[in-house]
Amino acid sequence: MEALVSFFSNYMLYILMGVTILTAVGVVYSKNAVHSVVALLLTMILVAGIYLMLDAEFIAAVQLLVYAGGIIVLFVFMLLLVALHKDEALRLFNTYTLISLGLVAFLVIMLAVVFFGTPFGPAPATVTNIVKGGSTEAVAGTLYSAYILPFEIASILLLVAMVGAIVLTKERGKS
Amino acid sequence: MIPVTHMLIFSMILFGIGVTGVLIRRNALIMLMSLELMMNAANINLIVFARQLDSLAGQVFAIFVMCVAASEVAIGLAIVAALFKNKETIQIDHLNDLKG
Repeated sequence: MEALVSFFSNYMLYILMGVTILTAVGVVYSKNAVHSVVALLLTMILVAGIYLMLDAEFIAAVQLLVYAGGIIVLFVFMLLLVALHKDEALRLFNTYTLISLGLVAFLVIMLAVVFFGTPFGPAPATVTNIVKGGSTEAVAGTLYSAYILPFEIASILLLVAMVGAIVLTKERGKS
Repeated sequence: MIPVTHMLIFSMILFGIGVTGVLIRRNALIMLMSLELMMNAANINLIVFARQLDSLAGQVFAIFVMCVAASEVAIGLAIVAALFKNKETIQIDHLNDLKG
């Protein structure tokens, strides 16, 4: 039992990261768009697990609510409304697939070189500030004091997005 | 805890997968999903550094990023719906009306 607990506390994050990458690849390479949505749902849940492991419980809950509960449902609705095209199965990818893959691999390798060259120091074993009084209370205290102006701007952004979505999708004037 | 570099490499790979999806897929919906993957990669970086520096600013900014991502998806899906209504397709390379 002890060995199991220490194994998971040491390697759980790596397991989560590996499975997340697999499901993310599933989002991009699925033939069927419904499979892509399911893979995206799995990815979001696994990322919420990663947040949990990083002492961000509130962010993990928000991730589950906003992504798995809201955005995925929007995607599924859209997928059902937009009837999949007949020639979808013919050609899945664009013309420049190989060039794109090469460019992305180049980007990843260059960034990896930069990251390995930067001394970040060891990760702290215990944290105090971000879990003070529980993750939710700590986040709320910072959000509503130091970051109150961005918070209000974010609410305006959401209002604009709501109005924009309604205007974009409503029937144009029948007059 | 595992080193920050490993988490950064992971989130960078996730970001790369998102970029790949936007570049190579023809379906507008899949492209939007890949955008979500990229947003999540950025969020993971914010959370990782919030823990590394023991500061709450990263977590607060992750909330703002989620807010922006939600509005982006709402608008993006509305655009896809309007496109489908007008053009009967959401394959990106069929939408080349502005090409001279």
